[in-house]
Formats: sequence, C-alpha cells, structure tokens
Amino acid sequence: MTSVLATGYLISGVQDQTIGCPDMTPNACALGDGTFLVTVSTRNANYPDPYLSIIKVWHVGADGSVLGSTSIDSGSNFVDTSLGWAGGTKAILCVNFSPVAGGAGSNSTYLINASGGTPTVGSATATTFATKSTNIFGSYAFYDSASNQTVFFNKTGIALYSAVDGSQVASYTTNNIRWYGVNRKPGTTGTFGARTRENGTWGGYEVVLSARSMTVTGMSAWAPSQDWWLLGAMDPYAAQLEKLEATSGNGIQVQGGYTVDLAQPAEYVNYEGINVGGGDYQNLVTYEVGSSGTPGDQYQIGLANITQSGTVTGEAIYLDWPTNSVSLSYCSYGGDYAAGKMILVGESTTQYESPRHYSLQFWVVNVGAAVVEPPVPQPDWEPAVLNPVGFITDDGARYLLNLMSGKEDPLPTYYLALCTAVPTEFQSGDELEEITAEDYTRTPVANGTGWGRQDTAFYNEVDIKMTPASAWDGILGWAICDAEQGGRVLFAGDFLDLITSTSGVELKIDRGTMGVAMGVTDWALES
Amino acid sequence: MAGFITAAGASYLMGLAAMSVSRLDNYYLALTLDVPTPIQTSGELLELANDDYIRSAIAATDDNWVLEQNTLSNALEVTFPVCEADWDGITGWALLDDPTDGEVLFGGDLGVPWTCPAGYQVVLTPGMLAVSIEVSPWEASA
Repeated sequence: MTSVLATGYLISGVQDQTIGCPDMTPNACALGDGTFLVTVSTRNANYPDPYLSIIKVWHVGADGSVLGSTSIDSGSNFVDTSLGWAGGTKAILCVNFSPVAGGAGSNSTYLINASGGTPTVGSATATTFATKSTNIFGSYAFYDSASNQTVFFNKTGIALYSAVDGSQVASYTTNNIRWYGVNRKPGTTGTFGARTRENGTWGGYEVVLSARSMTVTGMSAWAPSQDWWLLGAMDPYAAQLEKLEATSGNGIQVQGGYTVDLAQPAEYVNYEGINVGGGDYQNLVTYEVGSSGTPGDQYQIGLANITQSGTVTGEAIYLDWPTNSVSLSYCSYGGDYAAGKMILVGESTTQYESPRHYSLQFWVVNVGAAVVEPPVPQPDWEPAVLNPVGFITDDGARYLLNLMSGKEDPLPTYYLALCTAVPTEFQSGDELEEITAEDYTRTPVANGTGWGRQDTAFYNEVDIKMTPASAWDGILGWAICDAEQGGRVLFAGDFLDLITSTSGVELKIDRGTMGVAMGVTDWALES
Repeated sequence: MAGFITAAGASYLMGLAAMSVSRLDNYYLALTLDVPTPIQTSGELLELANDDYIRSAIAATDDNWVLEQNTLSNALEVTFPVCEADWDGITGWALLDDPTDGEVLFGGDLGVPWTCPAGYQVVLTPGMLAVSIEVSPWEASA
C-alpha cells in the first residue's frame, strides 16, 4: 500500500464566512472581536504518556496580548470560563482522543463556543465530512493513513464547528490526523500541526501565540537532523503549504514567498504572505543561521513587506533563539498591522530508530490585527453557487494514474453534473443523484481552456454558467464526469449551501472556485 | 517499495488532467541515501553518487505499467547497471522527470539501508515499484 493524499477545500474568492469574521465587512475582523488561536501538541512535558494529546486554545485580545488560554487533556475540564471570551466570537475546535494506546479511550467530543460571550461546552455527535453544510473558510484537509506506522494518535479525532452558527461541520476520527493547510484568511488565526514521536525523549511543545508574535518553547535541542521551516503564504488554489525553506540539514533558510495585493481580483485576496524586497511574488532574502545558535541571540531574517492595496509596510522578522525555542515576531517600524500576515513554521524530523517514522509539523500564525478587506463583490445573480469544494474519487485517482502511465489521454471535455446528494468517492456516473428536471443536462467544459492547474490544484479556469428553464431544487453536490451521461465520476464535492435555482435565473460558478487540490505527505512511507 | 507522491508529482498529475502539461516520455528512478521528502527538488535529493550509478529510465507507456485499484506499479523489470563497486546505504527511491536533474514526482522508502555488492545488479521485479493515490478521506469515518 502506499501513500498519498489528502484532499482539501479550494479557496473561494468571495465566500468568506469565517471564524471571527462572519460578515466580511471591512474592519470587521479587528482583534477586538477576539481571536482564538488553537494549538496542538501530541506530547507535553507534563504528560509523558506519548498517547496524550494536548490542545490549547488561546484567546487574544485587541491589543495583541494573550488574555488567557486553556488546555485540554483527557481528564480535565478544558474550558476556563474566566478567560473573558469576547462576545461575538466563535470557537472552532472539537477534539476527541484516546489517551490509551490501542484502546477506545474517552473519545469525548467537545464544542467550545464563545458566541454568547461565555464559552459553553457541549457534546456533539460525530458526522461525516459529507455532511458539512456551512461555510468554514479555509482549506481544511485531513490526512489519514491507515497504513502509516505512526500510531501515536490512537483514535484521535477532530471536529470542526461552524463559525457562523456553531453547528458541527465535520468530524473525523482516525489513527492519524494531520491538519494540512488551514484557514488562510487574513485576520483569522489558528492552527497547527501535530507532532508525533514514538520513541525517544522529546518533550512536547508549548506554542505561545499572540497577535504579533509566536514563541515556540520546549523544543528539542537544535540539531542538524531538524529542519525548521519558515513558511509564509499559500497558493490560493492549492491546499498545501508553500514551503519557503528547503535546507536539508542545518539552520534556517527563508526563501520564496508571496505577498498579496488586496486590490487584486477577488480570487486572490484570500491569502497573504511574506515578501521581502517589495513587490509581489519576489523571493524572500535567504538567511541562514547555521547549525548552532547562541541562546539569546536574535537573528533578523529579513525585511518583510506586506503589500496591501499598494501600501507597503516595512516589517522585520526576527528569530529569537533562547535555549531550545524560537520566537518569531514582527517588529514594525511604520504603521499599524494593517494587513493580515501569516507565518508558518514547521519542523520536520526523521528518526532512524526502529520503527522508523517521520514527523512533520506546522504552526500557522496569522500575525495581524485588523484586516482591512475590500467589500465582498456582490454577485449579479441569485441564487449563488458558491464554495464548491471537492475531492478526488476512486475513478479519478485511476484516471490520474492512467494519464501518468500512458494508459489514457486527457479528456477533451469534462462534464459538470449537479446533484441532489453529495457524491461519494466510489460512485459511478450512473449512480449519481442528479437533478431530474427535464431541462437539466450536464454542463460540458472544454479541457485545455476551461480547466487549469495551479500547483497541486485542479480548478475551473472559466466561469461556469447555467440558466435553468425550470426550478432546479435541492442542489447539494457536484461531480466532474467524463461523459455527458453515465460515465465515470472523476472529481466531486459539495456546495456548502443548499442551492435552489429559479426558472430563468442564471447559476454561476466563479472561475477558480470549483475543483480539487491534492495534498502530499510522507506519512505513509511504510506499510 | 510503496511510495508517496510529492508536491511536484501532484502538480504534474493535475497538469495532465488540465492539459496544461504534456505527459513525459520517460520517468527516471533514482536510488537515494535518504528517504525523499514530499517537497524536495532533485538538487536536494541525496542520491547515490557512485561513478557507475545512473538513474533507470521507465517509459511512460501502457506496457510498462500495471494499474490495480489505485496503485500503479512497474509491469517490467527495472534494472540498474551492474555495480562495479559496492553501492552502500541505499535507503530510498525517487521517481523523477529527468535522467540527471528534474523534479521528484514520487518518493519512497526501502525500509532499511542496504547494499548492492560489487558485481551484482539492482533489479526491481514487476510490481515492486508502486505508487498510488488515495481518494478523499472526507467520508472515511463517521
């Protein structure tokens, strides 16, 4: 068996209903609304049991300070009602996990919801991802590898809750969870990667986040076997992180990166990054600090310019190097933190003891205060078809491998089917529950011009428009097929809203909002 | 020799699906002294450096590959030159798009480091080189 892949949500350029910023009006995402930062560590110095997971939720105030934090573990209450959770904020995290190797464990599910000004804890019933029905912005992709040798997470689960109404959006339990590319929206915060370690003596990490800085402590000693990655920016269409550091051994190196100009078309406004030297899409300067650092030293990686609507604010990123820790902070010398900024830090390790395993972790920190965004473009049609997110089906996976091996040529046309039920990965075109209206047919979209590739994502390169002559009710899912009728389903997904069309009113899927993104991982190296 | 797809590999497959790239004529199998990572260029690959070592080409044609379920594997033997001296520390493999440079499309782990003694030849019998794509995990559990 093998490896590969988690699918992710594609970013939609216009549909932003997200944590901490539900209405998407300019300045609505000020930190005064409260910001939650969520971190996860698989181990913690206080919890030597390697099967424990530690989850921390951090509440960040308007001035960037950490107002409080709370930890979650298997046995304790994890919500501290004294934290002063701000009204209007929403929490997103639900975790269940087992502290017992090989056992069922507690598997409790919790919801933290601060929307009423006071966090409440409730239980929820796990559902499948197919039932996600509300809008959580960002690219969530979970990686599950049943064949992976890492079993440190035993029946670990995570569920996501809507930032809009607190309802559960998705949940997942697995032997191995990896968050991969989460929440790219400027002004929102959170997320993390999970660290695994089967043998050895690593302590866990404490990740302290504020609106403007991030400190990671409890790291293992700096060693040549560890690569630290400073990452900044994600591709708007790919559900993968943009790796900016590529050292194979020692030190820290920063290169590449994106910046975002919010004056760009809508599909480009949802990511941000770090840029050095001004201008868009220029590389960061490269800075290597070598294989050993001096505790207490501070290293300037480079000047980072965050571009927002043509405004460049000079920033500097510093690495602070106390013993076994890294601090990242922005040191502004001009203006406020007007633009959302994201720093991603990751560490990869490779252990050669038996059994061998690999770990990779990320922290994603949005170092930004108020996010000033342009008004969301209002569609000129109703109802809208928004936020279709997709996955590769079983036939789609074979199709891709057929393309690779010369068994099949790329299809000249893909056909978009609209469904009243979200397709599954093993459905054929005949098994789809498509719209039954007499005037409904699948929409052909020519390949080569109608579809595009952006890094690891496949997406619609053109707007896809349909004008029903009758009402097409209950549109929930979509499928990209290889035939006008029947055939194979290659990619599929669901609309995050129930779509009901009206006779004569155009449905439109904006360019770049439909497709799939393929994630990559090495977690399943051995099976 | 089960492998994993890399970022470049995923990009390549998506490019094929969108007709934004053409299928390569050949893929090139490299033996490495370390296990490749999902985001790695050829230049970063710690590849076997013996003078008599070269990557092995595998044509991207139907008869060279077998697809079963979601796993693509070699249909024919993949051979490397007879070692003139020991090839030590072979730990991983990478499938690339170029005989000497290029992008790493897939990578994998051989489990334990091993040596091809002088006078012997590395041969991958049919099915040994396997790559696959798992479908969406979103509906994998309730």
